[in-house]
Amino acid sequence: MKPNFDEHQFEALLDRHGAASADWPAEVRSQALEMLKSSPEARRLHADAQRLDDALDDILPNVAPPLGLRTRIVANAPQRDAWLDWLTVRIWRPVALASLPLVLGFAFGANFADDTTDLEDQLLVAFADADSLEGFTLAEDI
Amino acid sequence: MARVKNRDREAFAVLVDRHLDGIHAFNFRLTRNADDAADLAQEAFLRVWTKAATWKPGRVKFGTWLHRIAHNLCIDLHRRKRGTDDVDVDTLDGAGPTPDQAPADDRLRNALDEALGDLPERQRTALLLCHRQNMSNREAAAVLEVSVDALESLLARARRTLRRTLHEYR
Repeated sequence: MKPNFDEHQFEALLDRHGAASADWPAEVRSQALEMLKSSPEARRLHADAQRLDDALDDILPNVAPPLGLRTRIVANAPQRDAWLDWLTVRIWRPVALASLPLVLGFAFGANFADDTTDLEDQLLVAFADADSLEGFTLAEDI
Repeated sequence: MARVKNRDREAFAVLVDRHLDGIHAFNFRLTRNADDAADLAQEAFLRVWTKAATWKPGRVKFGTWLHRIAHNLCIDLHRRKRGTDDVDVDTLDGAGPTPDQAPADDRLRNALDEALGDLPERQRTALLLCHRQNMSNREAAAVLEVSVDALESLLARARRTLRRTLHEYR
């Protein structure tokens, strides 16, 4: 049995899950049922919880929906305007698809433009041989 | 739901058939008013029809989603009514017959009904979802958009309050 599983925890279990043992979490169900057998206090708590569940059943009756409600709901579901479908399928989607390469091209172009510049600068420095730099002088040398 | 997303009215009718009783009963228990319950059920299904594309299978069960819609509509209605004088007092929480007016056998029932009506809205909804809508604590938590732990805390507080009422009428 789980340590500290006492009447207080049994009461908390009933408060959280009600009196029906089928609704109790599987990991504590067997301990709770065991306690129900062995503890008069647990049985008293369970009887209280059961009484509450029964009373709730009594004050919360099942109420059938009024006749015709189902028909009313289905009939009143608005049909989407045909022109909206036409606009979506015939105009908006092709326009969105057609503009996709443009958007992607712009996004990639904007990103790679900076990278390329950096790369070019690095390559120039990395591959410049001494001869090609001979013509250059530092300001300090002058 | 996939068919409802494609505006299939027959599929929508099947969905209404399957869930109308449950959602109407839920609305009735929250509002305690037959007309409001019917109107809210209609509004909830209308939302399903128009917002079907936003429902994502796998993220939340359809029944949970529908109850969440209905619950939000009930809260909106309650707020609207609270903000106006046009309120039918018989539909308000805890406005049933007083214990003195009721037969002795009904006193406990009335007291409990009143205590249920006096519960904070989220505690009452948590109890309704788990006790009468046959939802698991996890599903009810999803409807109220709270953690399972928070939901169970709501349930525990609601049951403790109602048990105290039962004790007074022992």
